[in-house]
Amino acid sequence: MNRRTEDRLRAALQAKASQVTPAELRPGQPPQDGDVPAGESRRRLTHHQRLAAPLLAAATVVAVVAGGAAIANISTSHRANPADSTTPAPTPTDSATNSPTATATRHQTHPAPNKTRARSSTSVASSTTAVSTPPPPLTLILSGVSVTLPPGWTQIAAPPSLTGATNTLCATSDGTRCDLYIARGDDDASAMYIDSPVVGGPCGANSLTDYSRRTIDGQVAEFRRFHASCVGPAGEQWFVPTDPQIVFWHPLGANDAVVEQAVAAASLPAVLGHTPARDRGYIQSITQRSDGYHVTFRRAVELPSGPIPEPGAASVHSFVVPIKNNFQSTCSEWKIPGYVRGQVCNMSLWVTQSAKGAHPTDGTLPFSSVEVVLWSDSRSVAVLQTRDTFPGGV
Amino acid sequence: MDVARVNVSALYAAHRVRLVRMAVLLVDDLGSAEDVVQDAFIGLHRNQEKVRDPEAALGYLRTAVVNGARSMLRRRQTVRKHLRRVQPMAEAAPDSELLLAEEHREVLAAVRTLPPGQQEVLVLRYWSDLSEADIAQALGISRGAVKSQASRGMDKLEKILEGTR
Repeated sequence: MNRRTEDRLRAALQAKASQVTPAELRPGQPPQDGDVPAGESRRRLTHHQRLAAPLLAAATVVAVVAGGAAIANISTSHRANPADSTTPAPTPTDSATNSPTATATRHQTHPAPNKTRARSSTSVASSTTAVSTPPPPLTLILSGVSVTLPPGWTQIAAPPSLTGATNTLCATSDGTRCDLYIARGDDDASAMYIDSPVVGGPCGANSLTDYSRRTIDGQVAEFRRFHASCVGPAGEQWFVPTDPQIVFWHPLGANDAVVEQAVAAASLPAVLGHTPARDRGYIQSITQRSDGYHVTFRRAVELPSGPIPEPGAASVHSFVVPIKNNFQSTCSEWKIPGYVRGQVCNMSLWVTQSAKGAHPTDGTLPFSSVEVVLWSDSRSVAVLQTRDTFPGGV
Repeated sequence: MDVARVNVSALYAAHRVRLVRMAVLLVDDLGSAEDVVQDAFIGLHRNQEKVRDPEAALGYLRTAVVNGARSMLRRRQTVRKHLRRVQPMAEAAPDSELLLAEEHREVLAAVRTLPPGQQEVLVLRYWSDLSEADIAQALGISRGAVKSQASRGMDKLEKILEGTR
Protein backbone atom coordinates (compact mmCIF):
# COMPACT_ATOMS: atom_id res chain seq x y z
CA MET A 1 0.00 0.00 0.00
CA ASN A 2 1.34 3.36 -1.00
CA ARG A 3 2.13 5.54 1.98
CA ARG A 4 1.55 8.69 0.00
CA THR A 5 -1.98 7.61 -0.93
CA GLU A 6 -2.67 6.85 2.71
CA ASP A 7 -1.46 10.30 3.70
CA ARG A 8 -3.52 11.95 1.02
CA LEU A 9 -6.62 10.04 2.06
CA ARG A 10 -6.10 10.84 5.71
CA ALA A 11 -5.62 14.52 4.93
CA ALA A 12 -8.65 14.73 2.65
CA LEU A 13 -10.93 13.03 5.17
CA GLN A 14 -9.62 15.25 7.93
CA ALA A 15 -10.15 18.39 5.85
CA LYS A 16 -13.73 17.44 5.06
CA ALA A 17 -14.54 16.36 8.59
CA SER A 18 -13.13 19.53 10.06
CA GLN A 19 -15.57 21.55 8.00
CA VAL A 20 -18.12 20.42 10.55
CA THR A 21 -17.79 22.75 13.48
CA PRO A 22 -19.87 22.68 16.64
CA ALA A 23 -21.25 26.11 15.86
CA GLU A 24 -22.54 24.87 12.54
CA LEU A 25 -24.59 22.06 14.00
CA ARG A 26 -28.22 22.43 14.88
CA PRO A 27 -28.60 23.12 18.59
CA GLY A 28 -28.47 19.62 19.98
CA GLN A 29 -30.11 18.10 22.99
CA PRO A 30 -29.23 14.74 24.50
CA PRO A 31 -32.14 12.37 23.90
CA GLN A 32 -34.98 12.37 26.38
CA ASP A 33 -37.53 9.72 27.26
CA GLY A 34 -40.10 9.54 24.49
CA ASP A 35 -37.79 10.82 21.73
CA VAL A 36 -38.33 8.95 18.50
CA PRO A 37 -35.74 8.52 15.74
CA ALA A 38 -36.48 10.62 12.67
CA GLY A 39 -37.57 7.77 10.44
CA GLU A 40 -39.37 5.80 13.07
CA SER A 41 -42.55 7.83 13.31
CA ARG A 42 -43.30 6.72 9.77
CA ARG A 43 -42.63 3.08 10.50
CA ARG A 44 -44.40 2.65 13.83
CA LEU A 45 -48.09 3.16 13.28
CA THR A 46 -50.57 2.54 16.05
CA HIS A 47 -53.28 -0.07 15.70
CA HIS A 48 -55.84 2.64 14.85
CA GLN A 49 -53.52 4.28 12.36
CA ARG A 50 -52.98 0.96 10.61
CA LEU A 51 -56.75 0.49 10.30
CA ALA A 52 -57.31 4.07 9.23
CA ALA A 53 -54.63 4.12 6.54
CA PRO A 54 -56.46 2.07 3.85
CA LEU A 55 -59.70 3.94 4.54
CA LEU A 56 -57.90 7.26 4.20
CA ALA A 57 -56.31 6.12 0.96
CA ALA A 58 -59.68 5.06 -0.44
CA ALA A 59 -61.22 8.38 0.56
CA THR A 60 -58.36 10.22 -1.13
CA VAL A 61 -58.91 8.32 -4.37
CA VAL A 62 -62.60 9.18 -4.31
CA ALA A 63 -61.82 12.84 -3.63
CA VAL A 64 -59.26 13.00 -6.44
CA VAL A 65 -61.65 11.41 -8.94
CA ALA A 66 -64.46 13.75 -7.89
CA GLY A 67 -62.16 16.79 -8.00
CA GLY A 68 -60.84 15.81 -11.42
CA ALA A 69 -64.36 15.52 -12.79
CA ALA A 70 -65.27 18.94 -11.42
CA ILE A 71 -62.16 20.53 -13.01
CA ALA A 72 -62.94 18.86 -16.32
CA ASN A 73 -66.42 20.39 -16.22
CA ILE A 74 -65.07 23.85 -15.47
CA SER A 75 -62.50 23.79 -18.28
CA THR A 76 -65.09 22.52 -20.74
CA SER A 77 -67.41 25.39 -19.91
CA HIS A 78 -64.47 27.86 -20.24
CA ARG A 79 -63.68 26.68 -23.75
CA ALA A 80 -67.32 27.02 -24.66
CA ASN A 81 -67.36 30.67 -23.64
CA PRO A 82 -66.37 32.94 -26.59
CA ALA A 83 -65.52 35.85 -24.28
CA ASP A 84 -62.48 33.88 -23.06
CA SER A 85 -60.81 33.62 -26.45
CA THR A 86 -58.51 36.57 -25.57
CA THR A 87 -57.49 35.10 -22.25
CA PRO A 88 -53.68 34.70 -22.30
CA ALA A 89 -52.38 31.17 -22.59
CA PRO A 90 -50.73 29.72 -19.46
CA THR A 91 -47.29 29.98 -21.14
CA PRO A 92 -47.24 33.34 -22.86
CA THR A 93 -43.47 33.74 -23.27
CA ASP A 94 -42.96 31.39 -26.22
CA SER A 95 -46.03 32.51 -28.02
CA ALA A 96 -45.16 36.14 -27.42
CA THR A 97 -41.77 35.66 -29.07
CA ASN A 98 -43.26 33.94 -32.02
CA SER A 99 -46.37 36.12 -32.48
CA PRO A 100 -46.02 39.90 -32.57
CA THR A 101 -49.76 40.36 -32.49
CA ALA A 102 -50.13 38.37 -29.36
CA THR A 103 -47.27 40.29 -27.77
CA ALA A 104 -48.89 43.59 -28.53
CA THR A 105 -52.13 42.44 -26.98
CA ARG A 106 -50.48 41.08 -23.91
CA HIS A 107 -48.55 44.23 -23.15
CA GLN A 108 -51.75 45.51 -21.64
CA THR A 109 -51.74 42.99 -18.84
CA HIS A 110 -48.26 41.41 -18.61
CA PRO A 111 -44.86 42.76 -17.71
CA ALA A 112 -42.83 44.20 -20.56
CA PRO A 113 -40.67 41.76 -22.51
CA ASN A 114 -37.03 41.52 -21.53
CA LYS A 115 -35.65 43.78 -24.23
CA THR A 116 -37.88 46.68 -23.25
CA ARG A 117 -37.04 46.26 -19.60
CA ALA A 118 -33.36 45.98 -20.28
CA ARG A 119 -33.34 49.22 -22.24
CA SER A 120 -35.23 51.14 -19.62
CA SER A 121 -33.05 49.87 -16.80
CA THR A 122 -29.94 50.83 -18.75
CA SER A 123 -31.17 54.34 -19.18
CA VAL A 124 -32.02 54.59 -15.49
CA ALA A 125 -28.59 53.32 -14.63
CA SER A 126 -26.82 55.79 -16.88
CA SER A 127 -28.86 58.71 -15.62
CA THR A 128 -28.09 57.61 -12.05
CA THR A 129 -24.39 57.41 -12.88
CA ALA A 130 -24.44 60.94 -14.19
CA VAL A 131 -25.57 62.39 -10.87
CA SER A 132 -24.34 59.78 -8.37
CA THR A 133 -21.47 60.21 -5.94
CA PRO A 134 -18.86 57.47 -5.48
CA PRO A 135 -20.09 54.54 -3.36
CA PRO A 136 -19.31 54.88 0.33
CA PRO A 137 -16.80 52.64 2.07
CA LEU A 138 -18.14 49.37 3.48
CA THR A 139 -18.26 49.06 7.24
CA LEU A 140 -18.79 45.59 8.64
CA ILE A 141 -20.08 45.39 12.19
CA LEU A 142 -20.20 42.16 14.12
CA SER A 143 -21.21 42.47 17.77
CA GLY A 144 -18.77 45.14 18.74
CA VAL A 145 -16.20 44.51 15.98
CA SER A 146 -16.12 47.15 13.29
CA VAL A 147 -14.00 47.04 10.13
CA THR A 148 -14.08 49.56 7.30
CA LEU A 149 -13.17 48.57 3.76
CA PRO A 150 -12.70 50.79 0.69
CA PRO A 151 -15.55 51.82 -1.62
CA GLY A 152 -16.56 49.06 -3.99
CA TRP A 153 -16.35 46.32 -1.38
CA THR A 154 -19.58 44.56 -0.48
CA GLN A 155 -20.79 42.11 2.08
CA ILE A 156 -21.87 38.67 0.87
CA ALA A 157 -23.04 35.57 2.66
CA ALA A 158 -20.22 33.51 4.07
CA PRO A 159 -20.04 29.97 2.72
CA PRO A 160 -22.48 27.84 4.73
CA SER A 161 -19.84 25.55 6.14
CA LEU A 162 -17.94 28.50 7.59
CA THR A 163 -20.66 30.66 8.92
CA GLY A 164 -21.15 28.88 12.19
CA ALA A 165 -24.78 29.86 11.56
CA THR A 166 -24.58 33.45 12.66
CA ASN A 167 -21.16 34.45 13.76
CA THR A 168 -19.17 34.96 10.56
CA LEU A 169 -19.22 37.93 8.19
CA CYS A 170 -17.68 37.94 4.75
CA ALA A 171 -16.54 40.93 2.66
CA THR A 172 -15.64 40.79 -1.00
CA SER A 173 -13.94 43.12 -3.43
CA ASP A 174 -15.23 41.47 -6.59
CA GLY A 175 -18.52 39.96 -5.49
CA THR A 176 -17.36 36.39 -5.84
CA ARG A 177 -15.01 35.24 -3.12
CA CYS A 178 -14.64 36.21 0.52
CA ASP A 179 -11.54 38.37 0.82
CA LEU A 180 -12.06 38.91 4.51
CA TYR A 181 -13.88 36.84 7.09
CA ILE A 182 -14.66 38.16 10.53
CA ALA A 183 -15.86 35.83 13.24
CA ARG A 184 -16.41 35.89 16.96
CA GLY A 185 -15.32 32.77 18.70
CA ASP A 186 -16.93 33.27 22.07
CA ASP A 187 -19.88 31.01 21.33
CA ASP A 188 -17.49 28.27 20.45
CA ALA A 189 -13.86 28.95 19.86
CA SER A 190 -13.56 25.87 17.74
CA ALA A 191 -15.78 27.36 15.07
CA MET A 192 -13.63 27.58 12.00
CA TYR A 193 -10.33 28.44 13.56
CA ILE A 194 -9.45 26.35 16.56
CA ASP A 195 -9.21 22.67 16.06
CA SER A 196 -7.17 19.59 16.10
CA PRO A 197 -3.71 19.56 14.64
CA VAL A 198 -3.17 16.58 12.42
CA VAL A 199 -0.14 14.63 11.45
CA GLY A 200 0.50 16.18 8.09
CA GLY A 201 1.21 14.18 4.97
CA PRO A 202 2.62 15.70 1.80
CA CYS A 203 -0.59 17.66 1.34
CA GLY A 204 -1.91 16.96 4.76
CA ALA A 205 -1.74 20.35 6.31
CA ASN A 206 -0.89 23.94 5.95
CA SER A 207 2.23 25.15 7.61
CA LEU A 208 2.83 28.30 9.53
CA THR A 209 5.26 30.61 7.75
CA ASP A 210 4.96 33.69 9.88
CA TYR A 211 3.91 34.44 13.43
CA SER A 212 3.96 37.72 15.26
CA ARG A 213 2.09 39.68 17.84
CA ARG A 214 0.08 42.61 16.57
CA THR A 215 -2.02 45.25 18.22
CA ILE A 216 -5.57 45.94 17.09
CA ASP A 217 -7.49 48.68 18.85
CA GLY A 218 -5.12 48.41 21.80
CA GLN A 219 -5.59 44.67 22.19
CA VAL A 220 -3.05 41.94 21.58
CA ALA A 221 -3.68 39.84 18.48
CA GLU A 222 -1.78 36.82 17.23
CA PHE A 223 -0.91 37.13 13.55
CA ARG A 224 -0.23 34.02 11.50
CA ARG A 225 0.47 33.46 7.86
CA PHE A 226 0.05 30.02 6.36
CA HIS A 227 1.38 28.15 3.39
CA ALA A 228 -0.46 25.15 1.97
CA SER A 229 2.11 22.58 0.97
CA CYS A 230 0.31 21.63 -2.22
CA VAL A 231 -1.25 24.87 -3.36
CA GLY A 232 1.15 27.55 -2.17
CA PRO A 233 0.34 30.62 -0.08
CA ALA A 234 -2.92 30.02 1.73
CA GLY A 235 -3.91 32.86 3.93
CA GLU A 236 -3.34 34.98 6.96
CA GLN A 237 -5.14 35.28 10.22
CA TRP A 238 -5.37 37.79 13.03
CA PHE A 239 -6.65 36.18 16.21
CA VAL A 240 -7.63 38.07 19.35
CA PRO A 241 -7.29 35.37 22.01
CA THR A 242 -8.87 37.14 24.93
CA ASP A 243 -12.57 37.07 25.73
CA PRO A 244 -14.39 37.83 23.44
CA GLN A 245 -12.29 36.00 20.87
CA ILE A 246 -12.21 37.61 17.44
CA VAL A 247 -10.80 36.15 14.24
CA PHE A 248 -10.01 37.87 10.97
CA TRP A 249 -9.10 35.58 8.10
CA HIS A 250 -7.86 36.61 4.66
CA PRO A 251 -7.04 34.23 1.79
CA LEU A 252 -3.78 35.50 0.29
CA GLY A 253 -3.48 36.53 -3.31
CA ALA A 254 -5.49 39.70 -3.79
CA ASN A 255 -6.06 42.82 -1.73
CA ASP A 256 -3.47 41.72 0.82
CA ALA A 257 -2.41 45.27 1.67
CA VAL A 258 -5.99 46.59 1.77
CA VAL A 259 -7.10 43.90 4.18
CA GLU A 260 -4.06 44.31 6.39
CA GLN A 261 -4.72 48.03 6.65
CA ALA A 262 -8.42 47.53 7.38
CA VAL A 263 -7.78 44.97 10.11
CA ALA A 264 -5.09 47.13 11.71
CA ALA A 265 -7.62 49.98 11.89
CA ALA A 266 -10.54 47.84 13.17
CA SER A 267 -12.37 48.60 16.41
CA LEU A 268 -12.90 45.78 18.87
CA PRO A 269 -15.28 45.28 21.78
CA ALA A 270 -13.85 45.76 25.27
CA VAL A 271 -11.95 42.85 26.81
CA LEU A 272 -14.22 40.88 29.13
CA GLY A 273 -11.59 38.50 30.42
CA HIS A 274 -8.18 37.11 29.69
CA THR A 275 -9.22 33.47 29.56
CA PRO A 276 -11.37 32.56 26.57
CA ALA A 277 -14.74 31.04 27.36
CA ARG A 278 -13.85 27.99 25.34
CA ASP A 279 -10.57 26.91 23.93
CA ARG A 280 -9.14 23.88 22.23
CA GLY A 281 -5.63 22.56 22.29
CA TYR A 282 -3.16 20.55 24.32
CA ILE A 283 -2.42 20.58 28.00
CA GLN A 284 1.33 20.57 28.22
CA SER A 285 1.60 20.12 31.95
CA ILE A 286 -0.42 20.00 35.13
CA THR A 287 1.12 20.25 38.56
CA GLN A 288 -0.70 20.32 41.86
CA ARG A 289 0.04 23.14 44.29
CA SER A 290 -1.72 24.50 47.34
CA ASP A 291 -3.78 27.03 45.39
CA GLY A 292 -4.90 24.57 42.73
CA TYR A 293 -3.73 22.79 39.62
CA HIS A 294 -1.30 24.84 37.55
CA VAL A 295 -1.97 24.17 33.91
CA THR A 296 0.07 25.08 30.86
CA PHE A 297 -2.07 24.94 27.79
CA ARG A 298 -1.22 25.30 24.13
CA ARG A 299 -3.91 26.38 21.73
CA ALA A 300 -4.50 24.57 18.46
CA VAL A 301 -5.22 26.52 15.31
CA GLU A 302 -7.29 25.76 12.28
CA LEU A 303 -7.85 27.40 8.93
CA PRO A 304 -10.99 27.28 6.83
CA SER A 305 -9.23 24.79 4.57
CA GLY A 306 -8.25 22.49 7.38
CA PRO A 307 -6.37 22.28 10.65
CA ILE A 308 -2.69 22.97 11.01
CA PRO A 309 -0.15 21.86 13.53
CA GLU A 310 0.74 24.83 15.68
CA PRO A 311 4.51 24.91 15.95
CA GLY A 312 6.53 26.59 18.64
CA ALA A 313 5.20 28.09 21.78
CA ALA A 314 3.21 30.80 20.08
CA SER A 315 -0.07 30.12 21.79
CA VAL A 316 0.92 28.86 25.19
CA HIS A 317 -0.82 30.21 28.22
CA SER A 318 -0.95 29.20 31.84
CA PHE A 319 -3.69 29.31 34.43
CA VAL A 320 -4.74 27.82 37.73
CA VAL A 321 -7.65 25.42 38.12
CA PRO A 322 -9.23 25.38 41.59
CA ILE A 323 -8.72 22.06 43.40
CA LYS A 324 -12.44 21.40 43.73
CA ASN A 325 -12.98 21.71 40.02
CA ASN A 326 -14.45 18.72 38.31
CA PHE A 327 -12.86 17.55 35.07
CA GLN A 328 -15.62 16.04 33.04
CA SER A 329 -13.94 13.44 30.96
CA THR A 330 -14.04 9.70 30.61
CA CYS A 331 -10.53 9.48 29.13
CA SER A 332 -12.00 7.15 26.57
CA GLU A 333 -9.54 8.18 23.91
CA TRP A 334 -6.53 8.24 26.15
CA LYS A 335 -5.26 5.00 27.60
CA ILE A 336 -3.65 5.53 30.96
CA PRO A 337 -2.25 2.59 32.94
CA GLY A 338 -4.45 1.95 35.90
CA TYR A 339 -7.41 3.54 34.20
CA VAL A 340 -10.42 1.30 34.57
CA ARG A 341 -13.00 1.21 31.83
CA GLY A 342 -15.85 3.50 32.67
CA GLN A 343 -13.99 5.29 35.40
CA VAL A 344 -14.36 9.04 35.42
CA CYS A 345 -11.05 10.53 34.42
CA ASN A 346 -10.28 12.73 37.37
CA MET A 347 -7.60 15.33 37.90
CA SER A 348 -5.25 13.01 39.77
CA LEU A 349 -4.94 10.82 36.68
CA TRP A 350 -4.05 13.86 34.63
CA VAL A 351 -1.43 14.93 37.16
CA THR A 352 0.04 11.43 37.31
CA GLN A 353 0.29 11.17 33.55
CA SER A 354 1.71 14.67 33.25
CA ALA A 355 4.51 13.73 35.66
CA LYS A 356 5.67 11.03 33.22
CA GLY A 357 6.91 13.71 30.84
CA ALA A 358 7.11 13.77 27.07
CA HIS A 359 8.21 10.15 26.70
CA PRO A 360 6.40 7.87 29.17
CA THR A 361 8.41 4.70 29.70
CA ASP A 362 5.29 2.60 30.18
CA GLY A 363 4.35 2.94 26.52
CA THR A 364 1.40 5.24 27.07
CA LEU A 365 0.81 8.32 25.00
CA PRO A 366 2.55 11.42 26.23
CA PHE A 367 0.34 13.69 28.25
CA SER A 368 0.59 16.48 25.73
CA SER A 369 -0.77 14.29 22.97
CA VAL A 370 -4.32 14.56 24.20
CA GLU A 371 -6.36 17.29 22.66
CA VAL A 372 -8.84 18.85 25.02
CA VAL A 373 -11.57 21.41 24.95
CA LEU A 374 -11.29 23.79 27.84
CA TRP A 375 -14.18 25.68 29.22
CA SER A 376 -14.05 28.54 31.64
CA ASP A 377 -16.16 31.22 33.20
CA SER A 378 -14.93 34.09 35.30
CA ARG A 379 -14.22 31.78 38.24
CA SER A 380 -12.95 28.46 37.04
CA VAL A 381 -11.58 26.40 34.18
CA ALA A 382 -12.47 22.82 33.32
CA VAL A 383 -11.65 20.27 30.71
CA LEU A 384 -14.90 19.60 28.94
CA GLN A 385 -13.74 16.67 26.91
CA THR A 386 -10.76 14.90 25.54
CA ARG A 387 -10.72 14.54 21.82
CA ASP A 388 -8.31 13.05 19.36
CA THR A 389 -4.99 11.76 20.40
CA PHE A 390 -2.01 12.97 18.50
CA PRO A 391 0.72 10.35 18.63
CA GLY A 392 4.07 11.87 19.34
CA GLY A 393 2.67 14.84 21.16
CA VAL A 394 2.84 18.40 20.03
CA MET B 1 -12.99 2.59 42.56
CA ASP B 2 -15.74 4.79 41.16
CA VAL B 3 -17.14 2.93 38.18
CA ALA B 4 -19.53 5.21 36.33
CA ARG B 5 -22.64 3.97 34.58
CA VAL B 6 -23.07 5.09 31.02
CA ASN B 7 -24.19 8.70 31.00
CA VAL B 8 -25.81 9.47 27.66
CA SER B 9 -25.75 13.23 28.22
CA ALA B 10 -22.01 13.20 28.93
CA LEU B 11 -21.38 11.02 25.89
CA TYR B 12 -23.51 13.37 23.85
CA ALA B 13 -21.50 16.39 24.97
CA ALA B 14 -18.20 14.64 24.40
CA HIS B 15 -18.77 12.72 21.17
CA ARG B 16 -21.62 14.25 19.22
CA VAL B 17 -19.46 16.48 17.04
CA ARG B 18 -16.94 13.75 16.30
CA LEU B 19 -19.68 11.31 15.38
CA VAL B 20 -21.33 13.89 13.12
CA ARG B 21 -17.98 14.37 11.41
CA MET B 22 -17.72 10.64 10.88
CA ALA B 23 -21.29 10.52 9.58
CA VAL B 24 -20.62 13.40 7.18
CA LEU B 25 -17.84 11.35 5.65
CA LEU B 26 -20.28 8.51 5.14
CA VAL B 27 -23.40 10.33 3.96
CA ASP B 28 -21.92 13.54 2.52
CA ASP B 29 -24.41 16.04 3.86
CA LEU B 30 -24.53 17.64 7.24
CA GLY B 31 -28.29 17.51 7.82
CA SER B 32 -28.46 13.78 7.23
CA ALA B 33 -25.34 13.24 9.32
CA GLU B 34 -26.89 15.09 12.25
CA ASP B 35 -30.08 13.03 11.95
CA VAL B 36 -28.13 9.79 11.85
CA VAL B 37 -26.16 10.72 14.96
CA GLN B 38 -29.24 11.93 16.86
CA ASP B 39 -30.98 8.65 16.08
CA ALA B 40 -27.94 6.75 17.32
CA PHE B 41 -28.06 8.59 20.63
CA ILE B 42 -31.80 7.98 20.93
CA GLY B 43 -31.10 4.29 20.38
CA LEU B 44 -28.47 4.35 23.10
CA HIS B 45 -30.77 6.23 25.43
CA ARG B 46 -33.41 3.54 24.98
CA ASN B 47 -30.89 0.78 25.55
CA GLN B 48 -28.80 2.31 28.30
CA GLU B 49 -29.83 -0.39 30.71
CA LYS B 50 -28.12 -2.90 28.45
CA VAL B 51 -25.02 -0.85 27.64
CA ARG B 52 -23.38 -0.01 30.95
CA ASP B 53 -19.80 0.55 29.91
CA PRO B 54 -18.98 3.96 28.33
CA GLU B 55 -16.46 2.37 25.98
CA ALA B 56 -19.03 -0.17 24.84
CA ALA B 57 -21.50 2.69 24.51
CA LEU B 58 -19.14 4.46 22.14
CA GLY B 59 -18.85 1.27 20.11
CA TYR B 60 -22.63 1.01 20.10
CA LEU B 61 -22.89 4.60 18.84
CA ARG B 62 -20.35 4.02 16.06
CA THR B 63 -22.20 0.95 14.88
CA ALA B 64 -25.51 2.78 15.04
CA VAL B 65 -24.08 5.68 13.04
CA VAL B 66 -22.71 3.36 10.35
CA ASN B 67 -26.02 1.50 10.15
CA GLY B 68 -27.96 4.75 10.09
CA ALA B 69 -25.72 6.06 7.32
CA ARG B 70 -26.30 2.90 5.29
CA SER B 71 -30.07 3.26 5.64
CA MET B 72 -29.85 6.90 4.70
CA LEU B 73 -27.84 6.09 1.57
CA ARG B 74 -30.25 3.33 0.64
CA ARG B 75 -33.21 5.68 0.96
CA ARG B 76 -31.37 8.30 -1.05
CA GLN B 77 -30.55 5.80 -3.76
CA THR B 78 -34.20 4.83 -4.06
CA VAL B 79 -35.21 8.48 -4.37
CA ARG B 80 -32.51 9.09 -6.98
CA LYS B 81 -33.66 6.13 -9.04
CA HIS B 82 -37.14 7.64 -9.19
CA LEU B 83 -35.79 11.08 -9.95
CA ARG B 84 -33.57 9.80 -12.76
CA ARG B 85 -36.65 8.64 -14.60
CA VAL B 86 -37.71 12.26 -14.78
CA GLN B 87 -34.38 14.04 -14.99
CA PRO B 88 -30.91 12.48 -15.08
CA MET B 89 -28.75 13.69 -12.23
CA ALA B 90 -25.02 14.23 -12.27
CA GLU B 91 -23.13 12.88 -9.27
CA ALA B 92 -21.70 16.20 -8.24
CA ALA B 93 -19.52 16.79 -5.22
CA PRO B 94 -21.34 18.29 -2.24
CA ASP B 95 -21.21 22.11 -2.14
CA SER B 96 -19.19 22.10 1.04
CA GLU B 97 -16.33 20.40 -0.80
CA LEU B 98 -15.90 23.39 -3.07
CA LEU B 99 -14.16 25.05 -0.16
CA LEU B 100 -11.57 22.33 0.12
CA ALA B 101 -8.23 22.34 -1.62
CA GLU B 102 -8.24 20.77 -5.08
CA GLU B 103 -6.00 18.02 -3.77
CA HIS B 104 -8.57 16.99 -1.15
CA ARG B 105 -11.51 17.25 -3.53
CA GLU B 106 -9.79 14.90 -5.92
CA VAL B 107 -9.25 12.29 -3.22
CA LEU B 108 -12.80 12.58 -1.89
CA ALA B 109 -14.24 12.23 -5.38
CA ALA B 110 -12.18 9.09 -5.83
CA VAL B 111 -13.39 7.70 -2.50
CA ARG B 112 -16.98 8.23 -3.58
CA THR B 113 -16.47 5.89 -6.52
CA LEU B 114 -15.61 2.97 -4.23
CA PRO B 115 -18.23 0.44 -3.12
CA PRO B 116 -19.96 1.53 0.12
CA GLY B 117 -18.31 -1.19 2.19
CA GLN B 118 -14.83 -0.07 1.18
CA GLN B 119 -15.69 3.55 1.81
CA GLU B 120 -16.84 2.69 5.33
CA VAL B 121 -13.69 0.77 6.13
CA LEU B 122 -11.45 3.56 4.82
CA VAL B 123 -13.31 6.23 6.77
CA LEU B 124 -13.17 4.25 10.01
CA ARG B 125 -9.55 3.37 9.49
CA TYR B 126 -8.06 6.59 8.13
CA TRP B 127 -10.25 9.15 9.81
CA SER B 128 -11.57 7.51 12.96
CA ASP B 129 -8.23 5.72 13.45
CA LEU B 130 -10.01 2.62 14.70
CA SER B 131 -8.26 -0.70 15.06
CA GLU B 132 -9.20 -3.58 12.78
CA ALA B 133 -11.09 -5.15 15.65
CA ASP B 134 -13.09 -1.99 16.32
CA ILE B 135 -13.86 -1.55 12.63
CA ALA B 136 -14.98 -5.15 12.42
CA GLN B 137 -17.25 -4.61 15.40
CA ALA B 138 -18.66 -1.35 14.04
CA LEU B 139 -19.40 -2.80 10.63
CA GLY B 140 -20.44 -6.24 11.79
CA ILE B 141 -17.87 -8.03 9.63
CA SER B 142 -14.81 -10.16 10.33
CA ARG B 143 -11.32 -8.75 10.81
CA GLY B 144 -10.26 -10.53 7.65
CA ALA B 145 -12.99 -8.76 5.74
CA VAL B 146 -11.83 -5.44 7.16
CA LYS B 147 -8.30 -6.15 5.93
CA SER B 148 -9.39 -7.16 2.46
CA GLN B 149 -11.85 -4.28 2.08
CA ALA B 150 -9.19 -1.81 3.16
CA SER B 151 -6.60 -3.29 0.87
CA ARG B 152 -8.92 -3.39 -2.14
CA GLY B 153 -10.18 0.08 -1.42
CA MET B 154 -6.69 1.52 -1.19
CA ASP B 155 -5.57 -0.26 -4.36
CA LYS B 156 -8.51 1.11 -6.26
CA LEU B 157 -8.02 4.56 -4.81
CA GLU B 158 -4.39 4.55 -5.79
CA LYS B 159 -5.22 3.59 -9.35
CA ILE B 160 -7.88 6.27 -9.65
CA LEU B 161 -5.58 8.94 -8.25
CA GLU B 162 -2.71 7.88 -10.48
CA GLY B 163 -5.07 8.12 -13.43
CA THR B 164 -5.94 11.70 -12.60
CA ARG B 165 -2.28 12.80 -12.49
